[in-house]
Amino acid sequence: MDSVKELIQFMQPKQRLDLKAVALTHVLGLTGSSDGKAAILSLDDMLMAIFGLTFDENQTVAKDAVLTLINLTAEEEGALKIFALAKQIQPTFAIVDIASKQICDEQAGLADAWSMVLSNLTRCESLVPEILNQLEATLPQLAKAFAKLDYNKKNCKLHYLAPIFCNLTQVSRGRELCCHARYQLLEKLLPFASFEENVVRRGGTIGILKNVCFDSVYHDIILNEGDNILVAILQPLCGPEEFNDEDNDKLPIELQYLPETKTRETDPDLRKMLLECLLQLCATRRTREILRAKGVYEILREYHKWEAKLGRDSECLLACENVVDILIKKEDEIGLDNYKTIEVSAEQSEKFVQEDAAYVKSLLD
Amino acid sequence: MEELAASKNWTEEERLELAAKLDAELDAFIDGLEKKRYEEGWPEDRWQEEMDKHPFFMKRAPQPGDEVHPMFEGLQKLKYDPEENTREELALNYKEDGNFYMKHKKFRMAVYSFTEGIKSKCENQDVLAVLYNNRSAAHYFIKNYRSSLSDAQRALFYKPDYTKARWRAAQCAHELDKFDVCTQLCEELLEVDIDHKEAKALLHKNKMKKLEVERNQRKELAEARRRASRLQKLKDAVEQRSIKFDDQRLNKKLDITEELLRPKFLPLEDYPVHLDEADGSTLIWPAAFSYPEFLFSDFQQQLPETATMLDCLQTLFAEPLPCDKNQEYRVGNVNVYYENRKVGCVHKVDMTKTLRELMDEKSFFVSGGSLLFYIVPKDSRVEQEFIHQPRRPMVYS
Repeated sequence: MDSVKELIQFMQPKQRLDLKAVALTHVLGLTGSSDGKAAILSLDDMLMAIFGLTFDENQTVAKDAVLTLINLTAEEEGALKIFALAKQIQPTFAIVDIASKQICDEQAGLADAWSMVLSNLTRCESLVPEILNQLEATLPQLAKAFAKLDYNKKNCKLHYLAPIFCNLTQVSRGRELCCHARYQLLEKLLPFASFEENVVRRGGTIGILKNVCFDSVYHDIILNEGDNILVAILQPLCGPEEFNDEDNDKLPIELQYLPETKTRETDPDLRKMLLECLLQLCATRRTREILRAKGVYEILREYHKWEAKLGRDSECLLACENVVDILIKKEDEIGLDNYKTIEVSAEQSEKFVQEDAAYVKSLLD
Repeated sequence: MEELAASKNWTEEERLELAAKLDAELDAFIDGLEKKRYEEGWPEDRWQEEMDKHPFFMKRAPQPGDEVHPMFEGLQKLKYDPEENTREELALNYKEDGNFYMKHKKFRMAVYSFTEGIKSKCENQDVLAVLYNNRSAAHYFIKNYRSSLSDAQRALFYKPDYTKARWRAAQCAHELDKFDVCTQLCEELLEVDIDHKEAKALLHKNKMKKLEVERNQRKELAEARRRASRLQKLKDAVEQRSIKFDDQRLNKKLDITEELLRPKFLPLEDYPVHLDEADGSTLIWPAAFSYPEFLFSDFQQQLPETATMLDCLQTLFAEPLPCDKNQEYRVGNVNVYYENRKVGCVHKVDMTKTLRELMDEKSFFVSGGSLLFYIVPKDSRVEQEFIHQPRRPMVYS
């Protein structure tokens, strides 16, 4: 512990470069273990030193400092501590502000690293409202940086902006800002639900979709004439199969005549999330009718065949069947307008969960 | 005089006298001037003509080729002479002209004026930007979208925050189906003013158009693929049956093309041989049935290879032939032949064989993309004439 304390003096901005670098490297190494992390998190002075070094002229030192922050914020405890401390100290270390400025800076070499810090911080739901306040003004710029693939000229890919946005949508204000028609943020983010090249970007975007779908307030926006969101959900589930003319005409235009090279989402967890989105959208009668009209059943029919034969994930199959079951029924069979208003007792729900588990096992041979 | 005026006290009489004296002196002077006729005025009888020529009073602008009034020429020089104006003044003058033409919807003249303004090479970037922007507008109204876009973009080059030019560029890009350019420009507009309603609407419209174009491309591609696959299956089926075509030499490797399979008989044109869609394995052929007696032919557009000649005849004779006065052409009363054009002889058809089996016979060739058969009454003179008709074998050039 004391040895760690001793390092603090070497991590001051005015120190010799080699001393700073070595001390920081050591600290970075410590963050690899949970003991090391705990030790560092307990030393406010150490944390302040790290904050300071993120501005160091020497790029390696600065980078190591930010990497250290990434590791320290990886878990909730560390993230909360760092965020609180950064606010408390004099002068304040405006960590959110700094991160977002770096991300928006086309010439920033550390943009990716800072985005990971921000991603870690936003994962803590309790911190999101405050972070959202600080980020609100720069959201359009962040969306632009995200949407433009070669935005950063120093080779930073900014993929972690996707989980950042996803985390922000954990709270309703975040969802509100994302879906706000004026800023059209969602429009910019949506295409990346099918971004094959990077799973972080893709997964983050799908996470956004899921958070938005779970809030029924947004179902109207989702199923407006625009089709954007529905297409973003369905596209990863579509394959190269051809539909007959009648079915084809129902589909949204982006999903018609997909080329024979079209592949489906490879990660089963992501597939499941998409299906859960669709399930959420089946809640009310109006939205169910829209889904049927857009050919969602036909798409899932083909998807189910593929999942059974090639995807082979039983939870996905179950998730798919849940949606199909609802879409197949006629409205008078369903009889009620909003699934979410039904009351299910605790023992009933436990029974359902067990039945599902047993069923899932039987799905694949 | 002044001393007089200062020192003397004038009486009324003396004043009057002086005034009269001055008047007389003036009259004398005037009379002394050379008398000249006023010649510069307009002749009375042609005053309207002259008025039309005068730059202040003309009702019609001088057209190219007209004689120009010297005063007009002078005014022109004043306005357009590079020596009289700085480059910027010149540019602005042309700009005014252009704007004037725009107001009166003379867009081509406006383009010309703005072009002259641009040629003045003035150094003021704002002026240049306006000239390009205005010329872009002129081009836009005469639907020269390419030129309009190019000019709007030049305007943006000289003045990057020129919203009007950017908006016009976006509209041009949309007209030209340059979807990505249009999207980029609309987004730039929205960055400056997030509530730019038209940009939002255009962004949406542009996206819809792009999606449609892409969908149509995909559809075409899918159909082309389907056509190619159908053709390949057809080729395979034909090759598999070793079908012979008399359009090509025997020992040359047969190149089965759509052209080879295209029926050359007009009534069969739209029915080339194809695979039955239902079972995917039966070939369906177009066929011509010729009646040497009547010198006319009947056509069956879609005969499955599984049909026998008997089946065909039953269809052909379902109703009696109008020219068959003696009712000779009935099933059981006719023979059917096919011709081997390469060798120049005919072969009798076994009625119970399927078309496929017939085509398998050594001498059977598909001719002009179709099957050709000849029908004659059994044991008749017509039949004899037909069989012994001189035929020359086909010669290949």
